[in-house]
Amino acid sequence: MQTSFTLNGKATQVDVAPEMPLLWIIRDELGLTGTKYGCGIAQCGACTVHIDGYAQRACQVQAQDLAGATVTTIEGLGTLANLHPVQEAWIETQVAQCGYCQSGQIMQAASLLADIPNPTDEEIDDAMSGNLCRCGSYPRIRQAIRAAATKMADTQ
Amino acid sequence: MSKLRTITRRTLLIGSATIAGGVAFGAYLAKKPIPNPLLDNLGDGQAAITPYVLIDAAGITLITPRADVGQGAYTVQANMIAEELDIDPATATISPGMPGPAYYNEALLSEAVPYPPYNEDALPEALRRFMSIPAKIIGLQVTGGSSTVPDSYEKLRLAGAVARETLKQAAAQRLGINRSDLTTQDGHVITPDGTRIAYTDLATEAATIDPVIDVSLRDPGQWTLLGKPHQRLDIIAKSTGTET
Repeated sequence: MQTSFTLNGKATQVDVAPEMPLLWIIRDELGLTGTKYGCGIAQCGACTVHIDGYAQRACQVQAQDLAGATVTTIEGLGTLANLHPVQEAWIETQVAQCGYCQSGQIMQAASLLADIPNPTDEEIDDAMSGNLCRCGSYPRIRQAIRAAATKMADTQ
Repeated sequence: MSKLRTITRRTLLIGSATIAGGVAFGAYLAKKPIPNPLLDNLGDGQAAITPYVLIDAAGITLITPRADVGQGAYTVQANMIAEELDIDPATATISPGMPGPAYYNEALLSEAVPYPPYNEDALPEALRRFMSIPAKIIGLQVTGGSSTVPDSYEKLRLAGAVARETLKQAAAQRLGINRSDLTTQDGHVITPDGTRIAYTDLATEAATIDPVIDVSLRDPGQWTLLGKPHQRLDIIAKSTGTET
């Protein structure tokens, strides 16, 4: 089937099987590999993207549900020349170790801060609990989210 | 006999290396230099002064053969080479290189001695140094056992120093002056009148001369990179979804 949606600000059309997950569309059809495949069953958060502004697992959204949606991936969140405050905080805090889960972590954190600009530790843990990191970078993730919240408050 | 039955992997390794014939064989193999694998596939205008430094007109590639799965191994290896090479490691390409005997891990077996790591008496220390001989013969290109820095600490700095002095030699020959009159800074050879010649501009000439191997390592007091906090070289790529 053909479906049209907005990906990182660009009108995008793909012709794929109706049940193809968005994660496959992003990575295999469109070649954007910043979004990672972790488990494929919404248990790890590595494939987190924004759909209509909210963090969603790209492995659980099918092509047939995409029509008209606005999708943002890590590539659309910020670029090297124009980093999102969450990415700036991530770099300054040196959160990543192996880095495999970090695109998902960053997308989840950006969604959290768009919703709750100054979250408590409990709110951070609640929002981030679905994003697993086997390196165990959780303390720095929390630290970076706090730093990003401060940055975003300062620029407003 | 109970000792024999409880023989450990550690004592077995010691034993197999100290059997008379084994040592002689080992000493021969251990002294034999390992060829530089980068020379096999060298392109036009490329210089591989050591197995760890590849230079061509486009840039400098640092070979960091210990794998990085997030522990920062590429960053620390690149910094060890860069410390002596006088480059900003962030400007270099970092590559794990290829599998090859030149990249064996000489520190891998250093704790495979029948002493605990905190015992730094003369005999355990001597045995730990000795274990670099079987390590070379076995030739394992292994990352593990917290061995990356002990293994690389001298050889990567030496690789940087050999590359630096060889690039200076290439510049000296081009200008008809002595190597000792030249200095290096930030990827350039600096001549006595202050002219800067980029390393990348010297690659072709450096490839044609023998590497300068009588080099000495800098005193830690002169270090500008090692011993100081650094941003991981891959942190931006890993925070923007562009790490490959």
